[in-house]
Amino acid sequence: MIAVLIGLLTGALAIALIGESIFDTYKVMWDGAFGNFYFLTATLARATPIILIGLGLALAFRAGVFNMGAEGQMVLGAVCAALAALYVPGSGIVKLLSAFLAGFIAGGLWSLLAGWMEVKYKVQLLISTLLLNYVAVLFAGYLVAEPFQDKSGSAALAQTPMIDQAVWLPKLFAGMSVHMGFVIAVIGAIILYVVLQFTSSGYEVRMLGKNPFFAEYGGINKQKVLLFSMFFSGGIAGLAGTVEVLGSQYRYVEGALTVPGYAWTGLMAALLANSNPLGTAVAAILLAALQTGAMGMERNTEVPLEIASVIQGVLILFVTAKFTLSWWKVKKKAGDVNGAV
Amino acid sequence: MIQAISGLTSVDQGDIRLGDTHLVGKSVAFRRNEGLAHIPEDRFLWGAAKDATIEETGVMGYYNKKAFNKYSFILKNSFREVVKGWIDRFEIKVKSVDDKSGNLSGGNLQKLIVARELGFETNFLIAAEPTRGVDIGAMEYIHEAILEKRNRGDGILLVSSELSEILLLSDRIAVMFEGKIVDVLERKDATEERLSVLMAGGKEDESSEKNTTTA
Repeated sequence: MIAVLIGLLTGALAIALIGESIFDTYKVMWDGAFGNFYFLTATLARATPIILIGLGLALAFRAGVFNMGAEGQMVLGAVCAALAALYVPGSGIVKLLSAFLAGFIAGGLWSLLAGWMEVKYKVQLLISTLLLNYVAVLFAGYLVAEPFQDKSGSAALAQTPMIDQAVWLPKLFAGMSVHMGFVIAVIGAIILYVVLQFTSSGYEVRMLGKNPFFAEYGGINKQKVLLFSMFFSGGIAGLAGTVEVLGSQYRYVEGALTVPGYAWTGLMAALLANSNPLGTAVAAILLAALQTGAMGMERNTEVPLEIASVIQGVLILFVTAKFTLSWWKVKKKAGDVNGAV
Repeated sequence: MIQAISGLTSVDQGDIRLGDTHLVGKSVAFRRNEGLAHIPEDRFLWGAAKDATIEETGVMGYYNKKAFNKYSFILKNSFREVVKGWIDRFEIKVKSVDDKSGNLSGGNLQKLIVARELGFETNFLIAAEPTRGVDIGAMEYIHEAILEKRNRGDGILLVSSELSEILLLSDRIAVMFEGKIVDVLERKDATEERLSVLMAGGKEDESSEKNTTTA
């Protein structure tokens, strides 16, 4: 919360430097995010993938693992969902379900790969997940630039053909951009919260994150819980890509998911909320509002869009400082383990 | 040695049995289900999670037992009663069971861990430095509880660097030096002097004791 305040203060400073009224600018920003029904739904639509990404990461963080690969997991999920929606035979509902399944499994397996490398070869998750992003994004780019490219249009964009309308996720309100994916994201947040807080699997995940030694001592299978957490974490990130494809793009377009930085905003939401699933959803909506609000601000004032990036940058700085510190402590503790006789 | 028995370290050779069950190569969970309880040497590293609530620290090992688990949901209300029972019995000073474990004093956290491990009612218990760094009051509670368990006929492996504690609680004492058991004494033959001589030369004072009730 302090990080948010400092972020807004820094933003205020930057606005003052440009010579605009701070209060008016923030007012315009607020209007741009929540000002009327249209802007509100635009914010929620933007928040949808961010919530899902944030949830996936929150799960990984709760288990004490650093999954930085949400972007790759999301993109692979998206491209697999699009391909499933295009090429799986059957009625709309069959296509829809197989798209969801494909998106979830693709993201999950990609994440599981990193988890498996950690368990088997001690490849640091922080590094492997980060690097696998490039592999996934470029591979997805290849898929839509070569074998599955949409050849129908005149412009040869790197995108798949449009998916059948029967597979589209319905919009929540006619003419507004927010779609069923938002409902799915919110339900996902509630489910994840309940699972983490009240079930034995959730307990195992949380204890692994809080103290891996205690978890091991208590009979929790560390590797199994780590692999499961990674799979579901990546799977949920894959769902973020899936709902974007089925709910707003209706095809996989290269760059449509990576350019807006959904994955990194989702990471920030999870960090801001201290990996609480419900808090993550709220933080994701706020961060989305910051972005849509900044767009409104740019339309109506002299302040450029980048002010949102300034605020976000400061947020990241403060949140990661806190997070890295605690991660460091755990690592140090791990180094101090001395065997009992 | 404790880590080898409890399954936290893997063993290359030799055999560990609990009753008739072979434990080598088995998981920690398997060993715990077979009836092994363990008061760890380092309560903050192994015995608890500082950021977890007292209830969460307490429920470790119980959460998947039938009495506290329904459709994989942890039955917090039934478990809460159990924790409250422990708190009453050992007079653990807590603000609330939702308080963080790390906020407990060393002695109170140790009492919580002892209560948890005794609560499994297993026939074998490893007690590693069960009273290190706890106040006298807590120490007495813990000693009493360990003796009570012994008197019920359960086996206890006590590992301690406190000679007075060993002499007070043990039936049979094995002295280890540089990783090997150098001698096993009956309580009546053991004096502080004899033990000290056996231990001499070790950088750390390490000695262990084995109760005779189970082999």
